[in-house]
Amino acid sequence: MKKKMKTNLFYGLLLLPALVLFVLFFIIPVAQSTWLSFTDSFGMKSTYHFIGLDNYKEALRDLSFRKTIGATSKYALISVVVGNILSLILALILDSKLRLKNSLRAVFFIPNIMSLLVVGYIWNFVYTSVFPDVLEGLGMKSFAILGSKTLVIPALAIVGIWNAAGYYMVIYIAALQGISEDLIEAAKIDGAGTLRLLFNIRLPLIASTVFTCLILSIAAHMKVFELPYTMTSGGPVGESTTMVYKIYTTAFNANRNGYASAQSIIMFIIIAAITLILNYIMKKREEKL
Amino acid sequence: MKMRKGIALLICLVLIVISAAGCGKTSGTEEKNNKETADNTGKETNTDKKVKLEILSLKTEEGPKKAFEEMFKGFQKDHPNVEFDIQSMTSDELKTTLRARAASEEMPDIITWMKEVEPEYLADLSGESFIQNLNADSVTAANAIYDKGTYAMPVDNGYIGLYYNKDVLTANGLEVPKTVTELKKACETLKANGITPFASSLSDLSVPYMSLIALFSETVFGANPDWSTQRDAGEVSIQEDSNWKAAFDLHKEFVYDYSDRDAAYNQTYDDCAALLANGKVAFYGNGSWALSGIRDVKQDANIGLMAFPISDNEKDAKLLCFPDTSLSICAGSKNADVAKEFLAYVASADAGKIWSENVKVSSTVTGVNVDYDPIATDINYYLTNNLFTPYGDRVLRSVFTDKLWEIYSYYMLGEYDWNTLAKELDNAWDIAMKAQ
Amino acid sequence: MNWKIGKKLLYAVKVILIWIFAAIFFAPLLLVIVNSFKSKGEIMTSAISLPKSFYLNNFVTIVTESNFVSSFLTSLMVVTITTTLTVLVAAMAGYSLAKWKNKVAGFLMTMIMCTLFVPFQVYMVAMIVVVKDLGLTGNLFGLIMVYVALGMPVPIFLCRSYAVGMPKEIEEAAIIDGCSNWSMFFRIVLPLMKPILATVAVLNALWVWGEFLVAFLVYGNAKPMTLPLSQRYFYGTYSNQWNLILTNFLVSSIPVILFYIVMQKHIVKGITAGAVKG
Repeated sequence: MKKKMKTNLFYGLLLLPALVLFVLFFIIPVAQSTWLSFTDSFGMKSTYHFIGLDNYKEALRDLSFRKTIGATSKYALISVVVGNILSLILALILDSKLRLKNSLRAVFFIPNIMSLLVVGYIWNFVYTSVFPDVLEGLGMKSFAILGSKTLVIPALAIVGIWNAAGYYMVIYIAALQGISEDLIEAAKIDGAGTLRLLFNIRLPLIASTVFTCLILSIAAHMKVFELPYTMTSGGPVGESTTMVYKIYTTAFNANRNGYASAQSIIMFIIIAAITLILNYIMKKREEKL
Repeated sequence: MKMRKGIALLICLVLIVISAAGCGKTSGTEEKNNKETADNTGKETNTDKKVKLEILSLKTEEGPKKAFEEMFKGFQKDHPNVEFDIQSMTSDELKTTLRARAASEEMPDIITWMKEVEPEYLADLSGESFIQNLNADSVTAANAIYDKGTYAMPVDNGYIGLYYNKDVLTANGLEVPKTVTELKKACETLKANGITPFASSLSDLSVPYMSLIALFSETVFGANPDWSTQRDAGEVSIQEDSNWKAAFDLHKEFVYDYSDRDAAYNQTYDDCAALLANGKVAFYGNGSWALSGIRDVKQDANIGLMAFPISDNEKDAKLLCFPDTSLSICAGSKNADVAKEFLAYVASADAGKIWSENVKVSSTVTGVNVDYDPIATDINYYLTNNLFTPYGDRVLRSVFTDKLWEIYSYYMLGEYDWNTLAKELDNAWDIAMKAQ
Repeated sequence: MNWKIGKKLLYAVKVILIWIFAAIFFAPLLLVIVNSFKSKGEIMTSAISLPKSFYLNNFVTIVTESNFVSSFLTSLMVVTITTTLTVLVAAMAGYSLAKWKNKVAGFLMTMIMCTLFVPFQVYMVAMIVVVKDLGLTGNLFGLIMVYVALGMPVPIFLCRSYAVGMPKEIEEAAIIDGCSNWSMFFRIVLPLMKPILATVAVLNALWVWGEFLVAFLVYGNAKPMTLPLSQRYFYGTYSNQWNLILTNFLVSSIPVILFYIVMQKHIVKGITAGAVKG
């Protein structure tokens, strides 16, 4: 019994620093912002009134807000799926024996260092100057890709993938390095080929990292803001207006803090729901291990 | 073992860096002055105390930044104890910053005025003698959104209108169009000659938005200055107002249809200025702030400015002229006295001249008449003939302008018909009335 | 025989694939490098062509006019302390959350995961008020604390999922050998987690090195400034001076890239490899 107390104390103390910071700089501010979602808080005005669920009712009725949920999901789906597959492929290749491995890793990592301002500048240039030239070179009619209602989200997703691929690649590499060499050797002796090694040993062993990256990238891509902000102003006709971009304009252009808070709570619930489902699956797996 | 070595190395590195930074701190002269400032703030009675005025500005262009520096130097001649600390940022960034600074009660001393800053955070300047140095109309217009009090000190008068390249017009045998029919004819001729009539951007939607503001200011508020009051009372509505529709239709017909619509997704605010300056287009709708960008590209570009024609009556075209850059003192400023002295200096003829020359705008200081740009003649024509309207988007509520900004392009791009657009705008007006 | 050809073929495919990807990833960066050697006017007229002359003024401006050296050292210090603390806090919390099997830990994990879903813009203003109430605005200590707090969720998450996969046997053996919980953590667990800690350090340092908004709101214009602050302070928002923005990016990202290359040595097969009986 005493030993159990000691162990609990040990784990509790390990958690303490993170917990203090977490409460001070996250829980308290978020609780305050949540409270605002039930008020008519406006701009820099210091007084506001409790208005119950009015903001939530308005958000659920607001077509232009509902539209952003679709646009954001579309963007996140492409970026998460394609991005994670790409990062995993890169990590697998760069984890194996290869010449110039380290320099190549750095190349994929650099886009992630860039501020999204620079990213937006570069890709605006690619989409508007390079892309039309390529199309014409292929004998096709050039068109504005960022002006296309169907292509603008995939176009932004490419930029998001390019920017973030290195980040998840680094995490995947760390996980792959953690796989015991003995296991691989044992499997090889049993006559496992490269593909069987990959699907039966490597991938199952890093499954928890894959889940982690999925959750991290869902959270990150669902929050996309800078790309539509710098590249499209949310256009054409609102097709690339993402949830955070909408929340930002509601809070800082329309100045409706209360309404913006309600919108972010709704967004939070959506992402949390997706993630908790994933987390549940992950937990089930861990229990099996 | 190796790990521990690594940690030791890391700690050593940290210590070295801290000490290096510490050395840098004492050797720099600027930091020394800071220290003195800190030492002296305690002695309130000392008239020669060092004071540092913090200014947050939304003027990011080269011209205004240079003007501020010159004004600081001018002010410091008589006030050697005053130092300035100015940060320039975009209006979006300034809004965010001020929101946070107001919440943490750390507002700067002076800001460039924004309508988002509630009067509770600003000092009332009414009754200050230096306000008398300024054009009274400009002061009134700059404070139009307040019931009473003077919170904004206008420094210059801005405009939004239609820039045109005279060389392009002449080369195509065209006169400066004065009416809608003439403008239409000019655009058709240019198009036939392979020249894009209008510069516009679709990636940065704030570019075409400026033209729309100018247009509805003319059609709606130029014709009826009391429109907003009547709308609040429910006497009129956007849906039933043919003047609102006219503004959107003209915007679509000219600014959108006569621009290079595919290329517009590639073009930024800077590109549009360059297109006009280099004579690649004939027309470009934007505000006074765009002029320095045009001049940066080509100093001697042969350009002029006019109000958007809105009918076949030349006299209907009124230029949107309004107080643009304004300065405000923040309510909680500990250096409010010095800040006021600085504003008094800004309202002097010397400072007015510096501002006007560098920013290339007309000063609000009475008696300052700088020939800042050949374009000034065009603007003066509208001002002296009383062909201008002071009501732009600045007098409209932010909830409404946010919606307008969000959906105005839907009409131009054919996504919305007039009824859908007008209905949403009317709805936004009602929400704005309730929320604000 | 057939098997060997297959292996060679696979290797060739791998090499070709990775170089194609590398080319795609690197091409846009070329644009940055080329344009940082051009004047503003030259960029405006043509962004894609090679620079007419080797225009080095951008580099001179960036390095000389903005207290570059002192800001560089300040940033270095902030990053070093922040990253060290973040790694430590995250390793402790992550390990605890992975091994502590009870309801509280599960709940806390869910809560910390929630931080990932809330956009910073939403609670930014409220957070600044807390920071101010704690007297942490305008000093480097406060800035570092906020950085650790904002930067720790992803590291905790990563450390946790790494620790979940760590074999229990090692710790149990250590305890039986008479190690206290704490010495077991610092002497056994931390070294075991080295690959993920190095990864976390790289990702965290990268973020802190370039971070502007939080520094601006929490730390303001106090001195000594961090690099992003000082560059912004001297050039405002650059007002589209792409020559300076791009050069600035180039100059200031070199240390982070070097850091990554150095840290890669630690992102290698950890002790785990030999310690687990396959």
